Formats: sequence, C-alpha cells, structure tokens
Amino acid sequence: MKLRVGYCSRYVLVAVAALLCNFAFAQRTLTGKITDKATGEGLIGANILVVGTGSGTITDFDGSYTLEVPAGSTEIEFSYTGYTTQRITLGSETTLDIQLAAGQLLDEVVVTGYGSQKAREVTSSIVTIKNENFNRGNVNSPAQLLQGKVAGLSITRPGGDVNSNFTIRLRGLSTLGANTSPLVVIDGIIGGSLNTVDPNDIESMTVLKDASAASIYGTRGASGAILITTKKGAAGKTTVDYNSYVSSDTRLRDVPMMTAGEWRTLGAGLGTNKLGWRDNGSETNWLDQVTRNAISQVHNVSVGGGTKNGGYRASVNYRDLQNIQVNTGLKSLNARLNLFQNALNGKLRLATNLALTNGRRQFSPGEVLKFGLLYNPTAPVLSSNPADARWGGYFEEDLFDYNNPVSIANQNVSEGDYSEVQISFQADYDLFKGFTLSALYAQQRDQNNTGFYSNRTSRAGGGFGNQGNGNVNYSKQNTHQATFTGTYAKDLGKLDLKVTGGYEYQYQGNEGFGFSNNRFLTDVTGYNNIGSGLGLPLGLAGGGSGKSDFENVAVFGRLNLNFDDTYFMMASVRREGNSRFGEGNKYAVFPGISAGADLTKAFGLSFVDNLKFRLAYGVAGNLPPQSNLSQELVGPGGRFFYNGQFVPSYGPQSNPNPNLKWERTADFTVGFDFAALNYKLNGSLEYFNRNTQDLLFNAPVPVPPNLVPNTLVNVGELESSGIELALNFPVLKKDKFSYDVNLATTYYTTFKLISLSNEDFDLGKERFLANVGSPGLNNNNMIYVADGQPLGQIYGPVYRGVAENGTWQFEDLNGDGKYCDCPDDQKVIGSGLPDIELGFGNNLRIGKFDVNLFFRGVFGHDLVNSYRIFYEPVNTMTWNRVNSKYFNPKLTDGAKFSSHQVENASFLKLDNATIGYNFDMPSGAAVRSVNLYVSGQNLFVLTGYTGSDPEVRFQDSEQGGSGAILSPGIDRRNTPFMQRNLTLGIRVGL
Amino acid sequence: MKKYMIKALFVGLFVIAFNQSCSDLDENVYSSVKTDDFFKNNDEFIAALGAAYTNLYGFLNHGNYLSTQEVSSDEIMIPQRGGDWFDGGQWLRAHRHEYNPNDDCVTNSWNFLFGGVNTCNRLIFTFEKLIGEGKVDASLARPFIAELKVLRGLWYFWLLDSFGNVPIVDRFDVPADFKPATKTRAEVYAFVEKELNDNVPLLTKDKNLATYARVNYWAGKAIQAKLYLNAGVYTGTPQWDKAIAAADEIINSNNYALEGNYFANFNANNAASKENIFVIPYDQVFAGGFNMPQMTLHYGSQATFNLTDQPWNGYCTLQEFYESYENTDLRKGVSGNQQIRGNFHAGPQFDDDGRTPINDDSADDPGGKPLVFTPEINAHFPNCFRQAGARVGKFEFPLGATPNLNTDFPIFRYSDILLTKAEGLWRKSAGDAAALALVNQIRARAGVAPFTALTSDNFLAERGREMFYEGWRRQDQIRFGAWAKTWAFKPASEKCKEIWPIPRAQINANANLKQNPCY
Repeated sequence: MKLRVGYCSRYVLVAVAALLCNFAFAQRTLTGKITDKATGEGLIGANILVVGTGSGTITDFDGSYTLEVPAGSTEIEFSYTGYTTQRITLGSETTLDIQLAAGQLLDEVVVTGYGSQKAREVTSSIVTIKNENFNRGNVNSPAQLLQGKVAGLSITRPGGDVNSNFTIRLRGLSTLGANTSPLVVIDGIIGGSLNTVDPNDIESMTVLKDASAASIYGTRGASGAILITTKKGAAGKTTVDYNSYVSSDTRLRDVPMMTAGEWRTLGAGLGTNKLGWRDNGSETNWLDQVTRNAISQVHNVSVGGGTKNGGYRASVNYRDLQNIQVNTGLKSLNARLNLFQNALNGKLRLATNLALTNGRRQFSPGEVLKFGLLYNPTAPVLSSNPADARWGGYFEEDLFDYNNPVSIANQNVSEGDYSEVQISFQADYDLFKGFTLSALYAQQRDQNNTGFYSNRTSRAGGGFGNQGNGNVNYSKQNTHQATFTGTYAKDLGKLDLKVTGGYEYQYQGNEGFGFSNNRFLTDVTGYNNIGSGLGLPLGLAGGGSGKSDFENVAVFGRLNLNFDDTYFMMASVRREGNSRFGEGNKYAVFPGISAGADLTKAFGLSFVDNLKFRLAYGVAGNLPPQSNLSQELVGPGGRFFYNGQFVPSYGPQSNPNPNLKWERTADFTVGFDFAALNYKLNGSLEYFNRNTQDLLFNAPVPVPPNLVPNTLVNVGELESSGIELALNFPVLKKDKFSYDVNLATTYYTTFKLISLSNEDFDLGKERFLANVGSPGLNNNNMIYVADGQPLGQIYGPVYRGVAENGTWQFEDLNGDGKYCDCPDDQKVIGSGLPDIELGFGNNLRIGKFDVNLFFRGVFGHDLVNSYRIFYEPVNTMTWNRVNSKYFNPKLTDGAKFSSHQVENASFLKLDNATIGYNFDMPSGAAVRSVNLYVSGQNLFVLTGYTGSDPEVRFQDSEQGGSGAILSPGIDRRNTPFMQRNLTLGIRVGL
Repeated sequence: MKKYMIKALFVGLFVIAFNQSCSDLDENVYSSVKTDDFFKNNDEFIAALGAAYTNLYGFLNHGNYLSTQEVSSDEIMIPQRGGDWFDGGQWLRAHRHEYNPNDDCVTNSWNFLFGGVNTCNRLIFTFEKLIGEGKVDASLARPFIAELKVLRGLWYFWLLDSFGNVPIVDRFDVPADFKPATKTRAEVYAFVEKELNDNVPLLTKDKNLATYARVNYWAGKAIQAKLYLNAGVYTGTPQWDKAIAAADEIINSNNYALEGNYFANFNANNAASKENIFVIPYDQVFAGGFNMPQMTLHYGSQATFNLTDQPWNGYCTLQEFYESYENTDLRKGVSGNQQIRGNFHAGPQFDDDGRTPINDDSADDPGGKPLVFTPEINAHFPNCFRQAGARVGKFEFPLGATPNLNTDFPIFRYSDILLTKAEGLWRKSAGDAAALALVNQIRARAGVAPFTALTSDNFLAERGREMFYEGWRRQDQIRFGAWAKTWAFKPASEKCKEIWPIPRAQINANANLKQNPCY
C-alpha cells in the first residue's frame, strides 16, 4: 500500500507556518484566590488560562494569583488536577475568587485505543499514569516511569546495565512462544520502539490491562498494551523548559567473594591436594579493577507554545550514561517535534510528530563482571613474565573458563550505533455534527550496527587463538502504518452513544547482514576493516544476510454507551489478518465487551462519592515470533563432498506448519472503582483471570515423521489470575504541608500451565528445562514444567547437609535407601515467580520542599544463585569462592545443584527517594520556575537473598524462545550487579 | 469548495483502505526457497541429495552417538574431574551401563540416527515424486534412490545395534498423527538385511573421486559384513558365512589394501588412504564437527598444537586399555613424545617445540605443575585428577588446528574387513589358519610379534587395539561376551543393558513406543 506523500507533506507546511504566527495583545491585571469548595483551603498550583490566548498563570502557596489579561479577552478557565474545571466569562472586574469542587477525576479523559473516554465511563481495566506521577530522578527509559506504579504490571531489569532492556510483563504470562511484552503504541503508532521516546517527552502512559480493552489491538494485544502520549504544545505563551541531572552509580550488594587474606587462610587449611588452589603472590580486588563510580549526565531542552488553533513542542534530549563496568555505557541524542494546527473553524485538525534518535552503545565485550568476581584474589593484573607478552602483558593462567577480567575489558571491544526515525501525520475532520473522520500515516525506521573485535593478545574473545577476531553486523527495520477511523457520537437524551470504526494496514520489513573474520595482521583497525583478515580466504570466517517481512490488515469497530452517567457499556471487535499465518488461518476475530454501573447513582448510595462495579471479557491475540514459519522451505545446510569437491547441500529448514494460527488470550476482569471522602480517597480493586489457548509453542516433536525435532505449533493452554488493588489517598492537605500516598499491589493467585497438548500434538505431561551448564553441570536441569501445575517450579534434590567425608547429603525421596541423580529423588524446591508485587509511593510537601519516597517490594519468589552452585564447595579451586553465610569449608564435594542454592528472594526496597526544592519566582520574572532536587535509587534493600539483585528473573538469560519464558527464577552468572544511584538535578522553566 | 475537496479526499482514502482489507496476505519469502521453487535443475537435485550426507557430520559431536558408544565401552571414559564433567552424572552412568532415559546422550543419539533416517525417507519420497512428475531424468534419480536406501540401511544398522527395538519408518508421506510402533530387534534386522540385499547390487562399483565419501557398492558390502558379523547378537542366529562372503567380495575386488603406515588412515590429509572404504569427509572449512582436540586434551595442551580454541579435558582411555598395547606397538605412540604419532598422548606434555614443558597452572595434581598425562586414573568421580588418563591421539592434530579437523573419519576400513573375515573363519573353526594369518597381517603392520593361536581374549584385544576410537568397541565387547563383565570403574552389568533406553521425550510423545527391558 502506498500513500501519496505529497498530500501528507502539505500538512507539515501548514503546521510549520502556524508556528510563525504569534499575536500580541494589550493587557490588564486580574487577581484573586482559588479555594477548595468543601474545605475552603487555598489550592496551590491551580491553572488559570485566558481562553483563546497564550496567557496563563498558576496560583501561589495560599491559592492567590495575579494574571495579565490581554485586551479583548472574555473567558478565563480555572483548572486543578482532580477538580472540575470552571470557565468564567469576564466582565470588568479586577478580582475574581473561585471555588473549585473535587470530583473532576471522573471527567478526566482517558486514552483508549483509537479514541478516548471519560474516566467515569471506563468499564475495562485501564490505568493512566500522568507526567506528575511518574517515577522521578535517574530515569532513562520510558519503562522506568511506570515501574511499580501500576498493579499487575511488572517491569524488571536485574542489575543496572543501561544497554539491557526492561522485561515488561502484564498480569503474568500469556504466551510461551511469542511476544511476552505489552504492545507499545506511541501517539497511535503501533509497535513503536521505546528508544524513540525520551522519558522527558512523555505526557502520560495508559496501560490497557485486560483483553476487553486491548482486543482493539487484536493480534498484538494479548500481553496488554501501553499507550504513550507525548507532550504537545499548549495554548499559552511560549514556554522553555530545561531539565538536567548528573548522577553517580556505585556497586551495591556485591556477591561476597573471598579477599586475598581469606583465600590464603583457606588454602593453608587444605591438605596435600590443594584442589587447584594457588597463591599467585599478589593482592587484587578484581571488582574494583573492572568497575567504577559511574557518572552520567542528562540534558533536556524543550520549547513549546501555541494558540487556539495550533501548537508546537520541540525537544532535544542528550544522555551520556556510564555503566559501572568500565568501558561500557550509552550516549544518545534524541529530538522530537510535535506540531498541530486547526483549520476550517476547528473542523479540520492536523498533527505531525517527528522523532529522531541516534545512539552509541558500548557493550560488555565478554564476561568481565563474572571473572571480576571469580578471578583469584592473589593474582596480579599485569605479569612481569616475558612469556606473558603473548597475552598483551596481562597475567593469565592456562585454565579452563578462566580469564583475566581486566584483559577482557581492555583488549576487546563490543559496540554499536543505532538510529531511529519515527514520523507520523494525523488528520481529523468533522464531516458533520458528531461524526469525525481520522487518518494516520506513520513510518518508523530503525538501523542497528554493531561491531566486535578481540585483540591478537586477548585470551578471551577468540583473539589469541585466531590472531585477532572480529565481526560486524548491520540490521534495519522499516515499518509503515496507515490507520483510518471514523467516530460518531450522539446524545440521545439520557443515552450517550459513540461508535468507532476503522481500518488499519501495517507493513514491516527486516533486513540484516553480518560478517566475521579473523587472522588480522594488526589490531589497529579493529573491526573497521573486516575484510583485511586472512580468515576469510582461509575459509575460517564468513558472512551472511537475511530478509523477511510481514503485512497486517485489520478492520475494527467499537460501540460505547453511557446511560445517564450511571450505566456504561463498551463492545469492540477487530478482524485481523497477518501474512505470517498459514493458508486458511490468516484471519481471526477478536471481540471485547465490558459493562459497568455506578452504584452510587443506581442505588442512591451516599457513604461513598462513587462506586462503580464493572465486568469485562475480551479476546486478544499474539503473532508468531518470526516470518515464514507456516511454509515448507528449503535452505542451505552443510557442504557435501560430491565428485571430488564440496558443494552446497539444501534441505528443509523447519517443519512446515500450514495450520499455524493466532494465539488467543481470553481475559475476564471483575472490579470496583471507588472514590470517597469528597473524592480524595480513590482507587480500584479487581480480580482477573487470563487464559491463553492455542499457545504458539516451539514444540519438540517426534523425529519420525517430522523433518526436524521442533515445530512451531498452536498447542496447549495457560492460565494466570490475581487480585489488583490501587489506592490514592491524600492523608493530609494543609497550607504549608501535605502528604499523600498511593499504593499499587498485585496478588497473583495462579500461574498455571493447564496443558501442552491437543488432539494433534501430545507433548507429554512433563518437561525439564534450564541446564545448569559448564563446567561440569550439563545434562542437569533446574526447572520442571508439567500439565496442570504452576509455572516457575524450580526442581532438584533436597539438601540435607554435608557428610563427615565432605560429600553432599541429599534426601532419599523415593525411599529406596539411597539418593540417585534422577527425577525419582528430586522434587519442586522453589518458585521463580512472585506471589505479591507492591509499589508504595509517599509524596510530602513541606513548604517549598517536595519529598517523594517510593518503596517497591516483591514477595514470594525464589532465585537459584548460580554463583553459589559452582563456586561455593571447596573443590576445583580454579576460581575464587563465594563466601556468603552458606559457605562451609567442610564441603569438599564437586559442585551440585540442589535446594541449598535456591534462596528466598523476596525484597522490599526504597526504590526511589527524591527531595526537591521549588524556588519562589516573582510574578513576571523571566524565569517561571526553578526546581532543584536530589534523588537516590536503592538507598536501602531488605532481602535475605545473598546474590546481588533479588529482582524477579522472569526469563532465563541462557535459553531462547519458550525455554527462556518457561524458566523463571534463575540468577545466572552473567547478570550485571545491583547499583545505588545518586542524582542531582535541576528543572528550569522560562 | 475547499471543504468538499477535503471531504472527497477523506472518503476516497476510506474507499482505498477498505479495498485493501481483502488482501490475501500471501507471505513473501526472501532468504530461503519455497519447496515448489526448488528442483529446477540437476545441481539443485544433487544439493538436495547432499542433505542425506551432511547429517553424518554430527557423528563426532560431543554428547552424540559416538560419544555414547565410546564412553560405555572399556576404551574410553569421561571421569568427573572435580567440578568438571559431572554433567548430571550421565558420563558416569554411561560408563557403568546405568543409562537413564532422560540422559542427553541417549536423546541426542536417537535424534541423530532418526534424523538421518528421516532425511533419507524425505529424499526418496521427493525423488520418486519428481520422477513421477517427469521433472527429473529417471536414469539420474534411480541410482540416487538406491544409494539413499543403503544409507538408510546404515542408519538403521546403527539403530539396530544401539537401541535394538525401534520403529521402522521407511516412508515420508505419513499421516500427521503418525505414531510408529516399536518393532523387535529381529524385525529391524530383517528390514536392514532386505534393504541391503535389494539395493546394494544397484550401486556403482566404481571406487574413485566421484564415489569418495559416498555410499557405493563396497560401502554397502561393508555394512552387510558388519551386519552379518553381529547377526548372532541381533537375532540369536549367527551368519558367519554371510559375513565372510561380504568381506571376501571387498577383499577380492582388490580395490583396497592395508596402508604401510597405520596413521596414513588418520592423518589430516587422509583422502588418499587405500584402506578407508567409507568416510565422513570432515573438513576445516566445509564440513565441521570433528573437534577431537577439544574433547580429549588438557586445557594447557592448547600450546602443544597452537590450537585456536582451548580444549575441555574430558575423554581419556582406561589404564588397562592403554596397557593392552605392547610398548613396541607402533599404534601405541611414545609416552612423552607428541611428535611421534600414536593412538594416545601420554606422559609429559610439551609446547609446540616439543621441548618446553607445559605448566598446568591449576597444579592440583600430585605431580605438580608440569602437565603429565598419567595412564593411571585415580578415581572415576568426584575428584579424578585433571591430568589423569592417556588421551586420544589417533587423529592428527595439526599445528594451529581449529575445532574442525580435516581428517576424514573412517566408518568402514579395510583392516576391519580383514578382521571381520578372520573372525568369521575363526568362529566357524577355532584353529583356522587363514583367520590367524589375517590377524597377524594386522599385527605385522603394527610391528608386533604374530599370534600363535587365536583366543577369544586375544582376538577381542587385537580388535580393540586396531579399531580404537572408531566406534566399534561396544559392539565388539558385546559380541565377544565381555560387555557385562567388570572393568575399571564399572561393576558387572546386566545383559539387558546391551541396548540403550528409548529416550523419555520420545516415549512421552509417542505412546506406541515401548521402553526397552530393564529401563
């Protein structure tokens, strides 16, 4: 599908022209005070706006204001968050006191997919978090803004690596083989990349939690949706904002390893067989060598403004983020321009958004942090032995899986550039009264280049063995989207009706190219002249490329009913087709329906201000993770010897599955929304039950008759359910002092795999996953998955102690008199998934000080501490030992996995604490506002876990595909460490 | 006017949009070829045939079929060296014949063997279909089909030998819910015998570059010889005459001869070997997978051969096996001298200069720093010394070797055919002079004194010395009745452990499969 770009670009010109028009007015002065109607207290920071102009101001600390009113202006608008907005037609008065009533909360506009609703009308599970309630301080990804804020939404990133993504899970798990993260929609752009939005540019984020709401996104709504609305220019005078912070990250909660002294004491206690223990004669704190006090800085400048008929906002963000691991971090520059213009008396509304992002990432080039923990504390960093020139002068030993971490960090490089462009044009036109047509065209282009090089003298990374080892990879993704919607709203007396219909087309293309080489003459060119190595002509290196795409088309419709602001209903349906599916299964239909009633109005209740009961049911889908899975394809395999030379062989690439179809997640939600105490206390309580059928699962299949032992099939059923509670309560609101709290908590009652079988595929009742790994612990799984049982079961032998001779003692579970390394003597010994997640925010205002304390806790999950499995027994002392409270010098047996290394990882931490000071700016001063703040992350962490970060591991980082998703709860050796962050920031408004 | 234009524009866009909603959503394929677009010429046809052979490259992967064969015999073990190589106990169990249906090595072997069977089935089906459709010249395709059926016979010979009772899947166009049932070992034997009898005669008798690393008539005869040699084990009825006949046919063709130097068959460049009948043509560039140095050598041995990748310090031979070679046996090698080829690397190890001792930096062995491969092995687990055990040196490790050796791995070798004939004769008549002469021919090349008589013990031992690490030891021990006996780190085992368990995942997936006895 091709759109005429000329038609779109004309709108841009119109919109840009609008920026150039600013009007000046003669002025007079209006003063007054804004108070709460119920309490009579002054409202601080209420907005006063001269309608139709750019002029406006806010109230001061006792609710007073002074406003310059341009001549000819007739209307003033008074608004305050949570209160009903008032418009007053101006006479000749010079003072105007206003009383605002609470309750506007229910009239706030909530963004839903392809439209919006008033809060009071919402009957499905939708949560909006606005700018002022976002997490603050050191925030570098939009996901962080929401962390802990929304019940049912888990956002995790174990450790603090700025280059790793957050794992986002909504209401547990709803898929095994497809996308587990909610769909991200940025200003209507479906599947937008979070990299293209800077947290500074976000106005609000709306989470569509249940399928009745997310089913409007059909195929990709099964894991919910997060709708991001970026900031727009507001009518009023031009504002300039500058936000900046510097921050410092330090290591927190090191895995406790032995110091050189402890290591020597341990060695002295060993008998004649030192088990590989050695004293290299030096003292080195390896972690200090490969980590640093990381200093980051972030700058954001934005300019915004507009008139009644148009507005603009331009924003530039620069981030220079250091990781605590030396030589790693991220620098990015992001620019965003949002324009809108109204025409034809407001009947035609045009908007365009443009976002550009460039970034450069320096990745960890190897297992720097792992060996930073494990390297012998008595080894020196550099070697004086002339023979070690072959290692670039670094101290190295010829041991398996043992490399000098400083050498890895300094003699290897892994980095990449990315650039993303996102552009959209939107037009809304009121065709006749109540009927609006909208068109959106959007394009997103992502490019990623990465390069890796390992020096000829680097023992790790393949540099030494291959005389230099490098690779480069390029990939790009191109997405087009065209959306057309029509909305008709009609007021039929007591019944308000709104109908939305639409069509959407999306195309996504992916291409990639990669090249590796080795045998380089010099390290100087690194990966930048990848053809110069001799590995390619010698046949020791090679390259490859690939390309795929998909098309997605959908038609959808939605009906909203509101009867007398008391009874509400929403029904939607989306029929969607995608080229990734098999013939005959291309299209599927996703319905959603929800209804609610305001019980206060229906039954005349008076003990609460509002009590809405709602029920919702919907079905959403999920796409297969890649293209071409339904096809029978032939591709190159190995080479084979034919007539004296090697020729390519071609064979099947996967088992074709022509029946591949949509995964379907059905979600049922029942809940209450309530407001009491003059709308001050408000919140919601809901129960959800989510059931996914036809799971996309890369299933092991019998080799006869299949071609390869795995096929992506639709099989099985998954269920999760839980209770979510969200509360906001202003405990105290006084002139100089206020305190309010908010709480978001989730109690998961079910995370269950109902089955992994259907009529066509019987995948057996059980499977074992998550290999412990090398050295020595392959063929040793930690996770047990079985039909009808909870997900996330950690499985293994039960630790009973250490025998006199230093060997492990495990429980003989089958009672045959001896322990055997087999499933008969193993059982479930932990759960990788949490029971309860909690976010608890405290906002205090004391005079001009703002204090925010945000606590986050997760309870009931266990973690397998991988470092302890391998490096705790006094055996194979190649590596340093983990010296936690579990260390037992009597244990001299080989490493084995058991319940001994499964630890309760429940935690409560002070996720964020911020103290800000608002400087008092004189009215009319050039500077509108100045806010100075200090912020800290992870100031305290309460947990019994002895590893570094007790955060839930929703996925196993050492597996791919469904194996990773089915294996939560494993703290692998490659996880970055927990960090403590201190930030000093300033916000200036002009 | 303007207003109407805008209205018209919007309405027009909607019309375009809703027309699109009827898209058939055909999927584009860029980086692969749809099956319908393939088989357009003979080159593509041959490339498809290649898939049947590339399956063989997995033969030598660690944890696959050959590993499982070797570790369960008395010529190889992977001891648990402290924290290394426990791997859930699978290698300890394999050596003790206590296989577990969950063990990866069992599952991998099954998947490897049936993967080979299935590729043959698929190609036979495809080629027959193409002949039927007139898309390929039948005279080109028919010999390929016969070749594929014999190759499938080889895969089934291995299945018969290792798993015994397996389903017979000889076609590709099976229904979606196809769940083949277990057949008895005798039925599988009969299937293999018939397939070979029907198809080997159709294969080319040429022995040249065009048939190198391909299943020709002589490779087919070698499969038959080995099948009949073990017929007594598989069915209870020995077929010594048939084994002798198949071997004789190969011998009398004069296509093959013993190399003067045993190691000519195992050098990096062994394509010219007069002795190798059928090989897997491993290649550093084109056909990877032969990573013997990694599997067997010590971490520090990287410097001995300037290997690109560090070895894993796993596979070693048992002391008794090592010592079953006389010191003058040319096949044994010389302890402490890695410049002289031998089946083993033993004794002190040196840098690539052959003089500078290699340090074992962990120095946890009683011998201390210098790296010395001791033939004696202190323990099977948990703390076998890291330097314990003589290592596999049979295949050439050239300086600068990558994890992909160039050596073509012999599946069938002429000396094995000579020993097969000898065994057939000897089984029929213990005093057979021709049998003794054949065995002594092998011994003469190894530089050791001739036997004066053949016994069960010295015959098995000689086969062991000659065929070390070629994947026959388990089969030989079973045939000679030595399998259940006690040897180092292995207690006496039940006879039913002669065949492996059917993998648990397979039984879970196919209710028609029957687990082998005593698992």
